[in-house]
Amino acid sequence: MEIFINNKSYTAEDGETIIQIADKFDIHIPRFCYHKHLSIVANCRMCLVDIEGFKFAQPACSTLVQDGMKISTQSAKTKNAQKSTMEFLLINHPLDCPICDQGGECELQDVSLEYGDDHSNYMQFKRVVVDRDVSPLISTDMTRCIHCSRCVRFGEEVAATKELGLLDRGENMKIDSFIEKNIDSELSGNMIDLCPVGALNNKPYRYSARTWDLSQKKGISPHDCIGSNIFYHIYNNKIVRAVPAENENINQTWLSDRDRFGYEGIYAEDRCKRPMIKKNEKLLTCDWDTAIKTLNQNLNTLKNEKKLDSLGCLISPQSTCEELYLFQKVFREFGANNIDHRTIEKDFDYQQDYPVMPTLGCDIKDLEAYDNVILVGVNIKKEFPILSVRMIQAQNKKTQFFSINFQSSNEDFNPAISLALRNDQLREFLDYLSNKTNKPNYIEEKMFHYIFKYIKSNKKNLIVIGPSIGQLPNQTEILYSLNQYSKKINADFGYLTEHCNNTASWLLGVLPHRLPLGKRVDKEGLNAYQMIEKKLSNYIFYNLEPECDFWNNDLVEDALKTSKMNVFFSSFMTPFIAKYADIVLPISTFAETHGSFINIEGSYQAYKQIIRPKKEIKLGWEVLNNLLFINGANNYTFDTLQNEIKNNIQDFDVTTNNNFKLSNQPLKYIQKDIFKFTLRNTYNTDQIVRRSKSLQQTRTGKLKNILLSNDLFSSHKKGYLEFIDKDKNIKSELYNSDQSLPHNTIAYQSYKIGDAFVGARTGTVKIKS
Amino acid sequence: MNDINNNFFNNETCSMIENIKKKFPEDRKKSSIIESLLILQKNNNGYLTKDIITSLAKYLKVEEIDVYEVATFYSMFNTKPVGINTISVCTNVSCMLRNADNILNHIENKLGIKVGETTKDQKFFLKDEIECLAACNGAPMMQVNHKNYENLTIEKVDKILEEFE
Repeated sequence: MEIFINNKSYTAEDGETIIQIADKFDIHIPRFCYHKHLSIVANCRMCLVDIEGFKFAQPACSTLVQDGMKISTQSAKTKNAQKSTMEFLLINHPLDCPICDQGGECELQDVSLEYGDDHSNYMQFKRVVVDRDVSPLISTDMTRCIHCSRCVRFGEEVAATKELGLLDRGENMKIDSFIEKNIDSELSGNMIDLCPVGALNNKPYRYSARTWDLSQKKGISPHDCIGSNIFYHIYNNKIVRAVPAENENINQTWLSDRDRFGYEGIYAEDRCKRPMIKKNEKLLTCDWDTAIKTLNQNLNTLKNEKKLDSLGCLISPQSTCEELYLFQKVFREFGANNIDHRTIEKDFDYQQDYPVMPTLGCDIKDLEAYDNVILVGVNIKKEFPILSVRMIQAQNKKTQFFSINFQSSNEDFNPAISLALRNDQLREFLDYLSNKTNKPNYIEEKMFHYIFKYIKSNKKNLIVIGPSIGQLPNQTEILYSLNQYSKKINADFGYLTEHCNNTASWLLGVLPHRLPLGKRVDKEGLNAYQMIEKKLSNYIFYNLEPECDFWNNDLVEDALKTSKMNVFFSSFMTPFIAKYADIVLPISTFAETHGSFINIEGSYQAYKQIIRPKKEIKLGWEVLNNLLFINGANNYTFDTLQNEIKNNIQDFDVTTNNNFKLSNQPLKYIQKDIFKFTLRNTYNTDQIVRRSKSLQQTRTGKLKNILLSNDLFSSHKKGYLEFIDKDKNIKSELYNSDQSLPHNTIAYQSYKIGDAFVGARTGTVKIKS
Repeated sequence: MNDINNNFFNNETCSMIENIKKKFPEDRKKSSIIESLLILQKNNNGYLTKDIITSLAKYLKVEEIDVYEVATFYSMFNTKPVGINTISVCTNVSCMLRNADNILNHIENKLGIKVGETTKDQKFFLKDEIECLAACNGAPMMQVNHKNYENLTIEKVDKILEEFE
């Protein structure tokens, strides 16, 4: 159809609103309550426009276009309406712009300047609203609120946990949370962006800079495998805040709190500042030349003595593609085979049959095309908050979600079915679904009824395997059974990985058994778990925190104690590094280097250096390049390096089938004693997030507890908990019952620096009675 | 369901709320909040507590804030303890022209409280935010415990209040 805006003709579709057309053709209409990803309420009245044939101006956000409609955004009637609305909005809004953080980027300020009047007819006292401290991430000045209700609708529609509401009415109306409740959602930071005034503001950023002094650089989120696009705002070479960069395919206009506030970790006090070398049992600072030369010398000695089998090279999949690629290249050139990135896994029997790289199996935006999505071993709302937004959108479009995990998740994202199963039950359950074994008696009959009713092979199904499965001692078996089941229901197969760059780590060959692009290695090396368990005499750790980033922390300490050389490429000086390191090389974090990440749908996303590192800190890829160079290889510049990687992967089809066949049926894992596992804490996933002060102050960040399943809790009557984990005796007074756990299960909230070590990530324990 | 406080949800209230729920489609759980709150408030001396709101939210499987929004919006819900008898004096146009303000002043002085307050002996609660109660023909008027008293004079008011002493 054809409509006219300011006497110009535009084509529009049936069902579109005036503001959508205007936005499409860059005709500015002021608005506060309208947001393209939220429902329409038309309560701010700022978008009133003059429509021919209507006596009064109509809100552009809620008025549907009609054929031949004549709209004016310039006429006297529109202008008058805008002026009056602005006057009403300013009756109660304080004029404290000079001390308001929103000043300079405030929608109210802008619209007032452009569409408002220079005087007001209202002389009464302004309304004052008492503030409450609702979150360590959001500062509130509710007196400034203009009741657009975007934050309320965001909670209700996008985050699906309504935490703020409109209380009272009329003059007393205010936005607030329920009595004595905080804003705890993992997406809460988006309310800061949505708020058109300074009522909800960024708390860590508060009063640290004025918006017009900031410069903006684009980055990619290094905290999860979704790869949200971010704008970092920089003041004096320091990141002061982060806001989402719009990418309709990935994060839309949203950002999870972890991505928004994670950068604080870069400024942690325990950053490595200078290279260090151990001399006479003491770790002393030295210059870069000495450090690199010593490392090179040691490596060459190993090479000459043909002892490279005793060298373990481990890198975190949180590193950039360039670092990952160079890492495996450098140490392969020396002749090392023990190269791996899978430090949090234990069972590696699957590795020969695994696809070249794990991907989601579909594009993130295509999730809603599936009828059924079966999530195994992942709590979407907690672990991938930004993906939960997509899933909630898909759910509203009738995609059914089924969740199978070690802990059911009824309270958060609401799947059709949420099952809590132990690792041994998981296989039995899956095998039953594939029609092979007897029916497990620990699952209610109606659950099966529901599963068989909806999950059928003629529907479009997707199975997504989460990062918790990787930590299991019987990972291969679960993958095998899932694979059988996926064939039966004709499902696509997908993965969600622990870190931001696991996909690239696989693709770029940071593995003991594969070269880049999945090519076979001549001599297969040890996997990450074997390297630690076998107590090698030399270790290289890149970007890894020995206290937290491994499957079994106790084993790591044992290995570090006995080895002869421990080299740490690290941004942070952890207690273990200080105690056991022989060479420490301070390297950049993600923000201080150029880099790129491959996200879980296989998109390669590059970004430029965001801030300059401190003087003695070098870029990770430069150090690796330096090692190559002094051994006679060509010197890379960043561009030649990036081009080499791009050329390598550009012909590679990222849509390869994730479905794979395991050649041998794995043995059945038998569970004795109590199943124990560590709950992955959202704000403890990587070294930078762990050090973000604000995130650690949130409810999720503070979680620290031992959870017992109901049956264990009710049979346990002592005031403290004492149990045996392998050969360790653990005593704790901090424990609680949790009804979302399966029987005979104990769960730890995940590791933090300084916490008592709890050994392996998954396994068995015995409770002392 | 374990967290729901059984003091408020005895069998009788539960069946009443279940009846309310039946009136609305299954995916419109919020629709039953108002009527449920009215029942719960009646059983709790005319006011709502945090406990009641939380319990109802859990029972209906909605967010606490959803219930709280309703409870604070409508003047028929009280979120603070109130007296046994509720007095509502109309001060809208018709009543105002017939000297409702005098009536209200008199009641305030007699009971020693202001609008929105409860007497110390917990007998009377003088409700605020009262709009037209649809009895203009008998202006000035007031309601005591939702019963209309019309064509008020000061003497008449005294008499009515004595009945509730």
